[in-house]
Amino acid sequence: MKNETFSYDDAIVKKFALATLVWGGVAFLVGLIAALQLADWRLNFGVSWFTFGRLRPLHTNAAVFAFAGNAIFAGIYYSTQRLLKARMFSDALSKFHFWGWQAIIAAAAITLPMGFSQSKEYAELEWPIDLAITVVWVVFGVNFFMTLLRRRERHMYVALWFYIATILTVGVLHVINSIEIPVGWFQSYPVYAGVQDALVQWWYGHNAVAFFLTTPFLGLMYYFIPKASGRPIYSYRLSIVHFWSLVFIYIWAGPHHLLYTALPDWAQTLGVVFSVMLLAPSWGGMINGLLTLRGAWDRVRTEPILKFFAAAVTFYGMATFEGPLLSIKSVSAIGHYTDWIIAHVHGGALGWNGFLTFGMLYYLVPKLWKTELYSKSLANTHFWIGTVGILLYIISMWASGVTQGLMLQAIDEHGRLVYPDFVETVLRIVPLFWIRAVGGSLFLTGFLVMCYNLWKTVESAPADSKEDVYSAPALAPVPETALGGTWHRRLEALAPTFSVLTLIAILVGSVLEILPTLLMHTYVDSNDKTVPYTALELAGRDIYVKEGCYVCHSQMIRQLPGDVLRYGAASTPEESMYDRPFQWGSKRTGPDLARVGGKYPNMWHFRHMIDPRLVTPNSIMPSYPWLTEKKIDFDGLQRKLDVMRSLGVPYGDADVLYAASNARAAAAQIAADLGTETGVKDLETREIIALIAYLQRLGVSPKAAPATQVGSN
Amino acid sequence: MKSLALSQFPMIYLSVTALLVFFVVFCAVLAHVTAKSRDPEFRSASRLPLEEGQRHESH
Ligand code: HEC
Repeated sequence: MKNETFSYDDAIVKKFALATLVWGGVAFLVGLIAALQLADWRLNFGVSWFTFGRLRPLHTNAAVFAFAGNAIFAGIYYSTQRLLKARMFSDALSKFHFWGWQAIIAAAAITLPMGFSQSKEYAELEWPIDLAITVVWVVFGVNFFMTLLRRRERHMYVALWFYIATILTVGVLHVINSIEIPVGWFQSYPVYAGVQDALVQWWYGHNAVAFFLTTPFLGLMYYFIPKASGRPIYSYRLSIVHFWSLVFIYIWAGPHHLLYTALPDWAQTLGVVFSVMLLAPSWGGMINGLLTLRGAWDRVRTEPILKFFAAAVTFYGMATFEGPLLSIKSVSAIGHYTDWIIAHVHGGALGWNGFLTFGMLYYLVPKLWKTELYSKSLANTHFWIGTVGILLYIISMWASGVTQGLMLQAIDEHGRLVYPDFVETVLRIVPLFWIRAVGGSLFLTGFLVMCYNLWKTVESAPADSKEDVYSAPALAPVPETALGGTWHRRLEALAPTFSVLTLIAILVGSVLEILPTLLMHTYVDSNDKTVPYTALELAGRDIYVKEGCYVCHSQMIRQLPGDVLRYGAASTPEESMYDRPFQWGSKRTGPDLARVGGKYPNMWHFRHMIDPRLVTPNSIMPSYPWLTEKKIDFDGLQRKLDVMRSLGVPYGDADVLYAASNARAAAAQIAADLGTETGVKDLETREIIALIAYLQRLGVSPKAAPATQVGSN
Repeated sequence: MKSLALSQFPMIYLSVTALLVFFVVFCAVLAHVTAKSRDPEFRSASRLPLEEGQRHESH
């Protein structure tokens, strides 16, 4: 066969590696700030864009899409070219992918602190950015698949299967979860509501973890561990079984985020069963990764790269043991909504994604710049600081989660709550927030040590780094191996067929799980007891979303004695049937708000929003003084109600047409109730009024009152 | 009423069917993958990350 010469596009790998470092710093720093804000509320500084509710989504998005995302792309561009013995299909597309992705991140970093958010976790970004993500992702996909077609190596190594699964599934997840109707340049309502929105979101949210933070990193593991240790993967057989069972099972597990909620029981049960099953493929992958290092353990002791890899895979094993555990209903009853989940995700994100990325960067940077690592001992120092940081983080959050989870569910022999006061449970865990912040600082310090080390490495690189030229035989049109090989071998050689099968594997679970819920209205009589929000309440709801109240408050009373005693009757699917986006929440740093309506007078809420400590001493909730300054967008309400109506919310013509004047009238009533004591001029036009209207409506059903009636609160 | 209807939703059979299909396919893949005759093939596949084409020169 004729030999062809070619070179690899390593410039793009360098770019992504650099971006990983830059955004990693941002993600960790914002995370640390958010951690400190929980330890001491004063660090919110009373500045809207700096409050916890707005920074937390910035932190998660930066960690997942900016840090992990750029790391994945660096690794994929490096390994794919080498595994296929081919340059990327188009340098221009690679560049478009790079700059497009950075622009998206920059847009996120600006819009999230401004409060432009859909409130769906890891899918907060508003519709124009959603569209941009779709375009960039498709470009990435085209570039990747065209490279596959032009490869010089017939067999597609297992890492590539994981990349294929990632590209296809993330595309499907993103598009389906982002179907939304714009109501302005930076606001939209999802087409799904309530239970449906919750199920679609957590199908997405869970699989973002699966197909953005797991499968691509497994692909990187299957490439970089053999590469760095100089040994082939322990069992190629196991990797095949690992791949297929993982992609098939993962996609079903989403409902484990919604146990004991108003989600139908059958979907919850499915989620639990598949989550527990996930342990098998996950550990299969972990064992495969760790055993690749067998016989190289002496080098693990001295070689920082291998150390990071070994620890990353171990953390992966820990997190994937904990996940199925937390999916068991009785464990979820304690762990859900608490810091236990935060411990769980950070074991995964810092330990697995973080350490695998660090190991990969320590391997890649010297290779790309054709030099040696500046200092091995600094890398070892990084490893130990980072490890201690992660351990402090997850142990403190385990303690916090279990403590608060048990306190909140504790019931005495008379059937009463042992800790009826929510703040009491919060005060118990505040010291642990400080320990977590120390852990986070250590992790960040280690990261900075790495940045210095890598910077010094690049500095020592020879000036002229020309591209190396490689050669390999061209691919014969009819591969002999494909004819003679077994079926899976043949399958691996056929990129399109393989990709279609992967797509089928993930679609089976998705369709069977989601479709019934989306179709439910065809099986159940539509319910006319649920009254839609008034225009003013809807305005308040949008403020609630904008301020990120949902990052600390749930609106979903679970079918658990502790929940029902504390917050009232368990939430039903009807109650949130018009909620776009749903606000069930995922973390209770503050109490559930599903039935807070009518619990306090308007004045209580007013003072509480200005400064929670005025009414609840020791509260850690941020103050929201700007809500008395910013004005309600009355004029935009007509369009909002119109969009809601087009989505099936039963508003009458008058509701839509007079949305603004109805809202003004309702606002005037609340302002009158608050009186002049507040000292705020034009109080009836301020955002705080709409927010109070919304809060007072939660869990209160104005019995079949026509929605047109103003001032129903 | 609605939650009752939802919790007794009949499509669970579809899911059980999918689970069975998965199980059967899984066993088939397992049996196939573990065949001894495939040793040489797997050995060469697993060495792929360790080669990256023949390096010539820089230019
Ligand atoms: C950092 C987390 C956090 C954020 C963000 C947050 N809260 Fe709170 N919230 C708490 C905590 C903790 C409490 C319990 C102590 C208290 O009453 O202040 C609480 C209590 C409340 C209560 C009283 C609930 C009850 O039953 O007594 C309301 C109402 C409330 N918050 C509304 C909001 C609104 C509206 C927002 C967004 C503008 C918001 N919160 C944002 C943490 C938070």
